[in-house]
Amino acid sequence: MSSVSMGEVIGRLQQEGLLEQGQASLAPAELGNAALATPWYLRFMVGFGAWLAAVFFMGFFTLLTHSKPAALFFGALLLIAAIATRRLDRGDFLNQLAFAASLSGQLLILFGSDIRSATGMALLVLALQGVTIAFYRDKTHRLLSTLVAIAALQALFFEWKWPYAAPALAGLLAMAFTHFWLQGAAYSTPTRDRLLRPIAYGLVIAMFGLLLPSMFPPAFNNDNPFYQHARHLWLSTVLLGAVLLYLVHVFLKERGLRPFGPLAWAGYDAVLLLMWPGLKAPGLIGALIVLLIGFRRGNRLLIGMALLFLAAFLSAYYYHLSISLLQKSAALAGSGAVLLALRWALLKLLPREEKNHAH
Amino acid sequence: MDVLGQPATTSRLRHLYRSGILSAGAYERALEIAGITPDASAWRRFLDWLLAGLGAVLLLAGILFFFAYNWADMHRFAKFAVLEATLLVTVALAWRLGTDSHAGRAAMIGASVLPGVLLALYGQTYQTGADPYGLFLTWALLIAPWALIGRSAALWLLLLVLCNLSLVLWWTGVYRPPEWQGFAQGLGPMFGLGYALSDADLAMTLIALNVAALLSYEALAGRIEWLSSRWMPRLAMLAVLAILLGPVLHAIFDKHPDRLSVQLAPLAWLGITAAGVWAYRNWRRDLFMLAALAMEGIVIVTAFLVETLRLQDAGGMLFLSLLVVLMTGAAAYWLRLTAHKWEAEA
Repeated sequence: MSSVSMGEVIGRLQQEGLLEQGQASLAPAELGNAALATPWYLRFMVGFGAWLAAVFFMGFFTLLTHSKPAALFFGALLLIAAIATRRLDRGDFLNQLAFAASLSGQLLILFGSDIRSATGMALLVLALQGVTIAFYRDKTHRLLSTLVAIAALQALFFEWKWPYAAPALAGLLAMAFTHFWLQGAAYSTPTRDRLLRPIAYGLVIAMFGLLLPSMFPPAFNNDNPFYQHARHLWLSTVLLGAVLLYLVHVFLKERGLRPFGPLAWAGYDAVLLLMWPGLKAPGLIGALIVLLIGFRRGNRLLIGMALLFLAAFLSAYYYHLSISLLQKSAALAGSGAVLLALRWALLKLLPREEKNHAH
Repeated sequence: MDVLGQPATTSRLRHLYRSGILSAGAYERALEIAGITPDASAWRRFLDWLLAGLGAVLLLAGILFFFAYNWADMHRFAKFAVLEATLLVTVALAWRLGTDSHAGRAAMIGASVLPGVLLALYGQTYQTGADPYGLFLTWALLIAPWALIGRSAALWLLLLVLCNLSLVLWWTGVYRPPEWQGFAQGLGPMFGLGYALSDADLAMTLIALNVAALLSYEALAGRIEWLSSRWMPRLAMLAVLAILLGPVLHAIFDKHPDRLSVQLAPLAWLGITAAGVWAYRNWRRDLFMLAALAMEGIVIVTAFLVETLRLQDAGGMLFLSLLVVLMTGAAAYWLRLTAHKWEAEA
């Protein structure tokens, strides 16, 4: 946590002409409101209640009508009512009701649509998530909708037998959330930030989800089409490696260091070196991307997620190496020695104070 | 409450940005002033930490795998020597670094884990035929002094986990082995544990053990600085509530429960909830605990109404749905009110 107080930050901003006196005087009241923001476990409790209520809601409508057109009609009505109610934001009770109504409405629409094909169903799910992301003003709902939308896309790739699409999607998701997190406030207005932030979190989680098959290499030989996607993970590695190279480049530039100096080349070489084990374990590169972005933005949630997945992907990689224990021992110790040597080299090159600026 | 005296965090600054007080440029500059945007020395420390940590972990794993490779061929005295030497090193490190430092406490945790490995090796080497619960119980007794002097909540958690495991293994292995325990364990340890907890007497005994541990922790937390973190009692409470759910639901859905523990489960739940609400609202203010108790209450009340009212028609479903919404909304409202009250009193 920062040792600088809010008062000091506001004072400095005023001195630098970035904050007017009038606006600064409003800050204490707004900070008082911020202190009352909902903690995550409270949101979890509310979400859990909504799911439970949605189950009974569904039961109600299922028993009320056996007609699919009626289910479709009621589902659409529920969803519209949910969106309208949530936009009013009149307290926890109504927000709860809206969440449950939204989930139930979507399920009823899917049931009432009477679509038999997996492609059609996936497209409908995508469309519904697009509507809720755009119009349902709730960050938890937007996060869930993002995850459901990615899952629907994955189902489409499976149906259309596009084995390269899912691995490529992991790389594209990384590019998208990297762009969002690096741009920060310079990219979006406060309204757009409220829309994009939960989506960005959803993209991070979805990326990790798409890379999970790399943790189970024996599945690469499985004839199940689902696992055929796992055979093309090298595409994820290439795209994620490109994102990581870009990140190294951007961070060096931000610190005023030469983007093609010795330190930069050490960083690029480290990334390229990492892509070799990353061919079978792109999750390692994905986790490093999220870790670097999390540190850059001071985002503990991203850092925590990255460390968790880094540990998981690293463990799975070494576990599944088809070599003897002695060879694994050498591989592990060798990797450790390489990283320690890299640390020594980078600390030699990285200046202690800010100098060695780009000309 | 002095809001301007609070530390500058990302969420507070973002709140000012979203409310329109800070422009985009001012927000980014504020992150730099607050030190949230890392400067060169912060990046240096981060890379140092990341590469040193990962490198050390991989190197250590390599050493462990080397021993694993040679393990079968090593003489038994060599195996004991390796483990005991490692134990001595961790104890020496803990003594040298002191329990006030993170590294010293980490060494203490290592010194507390190794006795378990040593006992497992002893049992494997000499085939003593002892029951599995004996290993965990002996392990717990051996590290109890470490927990007392270790100044670490993590050590107390390890001790509590070992006590729980000892109890479960003694119960299922010696006292009252369940009928299909071997089959259940064959499906995996978690499945085996879940099946074991279907014995309501065992579940209630575990609840008593963990509630006692929770009460002890909370009683000491106000007086001892290193017991001030909240994650350990929160984990203990979650464990209590998770274990309690089984017997209570059993009591609700079983028309004629024969076991006394099942009959008493709802009373135990009411008692824990009432005491928990009072304690965490007035004594050790903790909104997380109140939220956990509220969630458990919503599930149990819903289950009770489903079984009692036998609402199987459309109207019944709608009633249950609205009831869940009402209960959750009321719980969220009450929790927010409690948080506001604490803020105002702070």
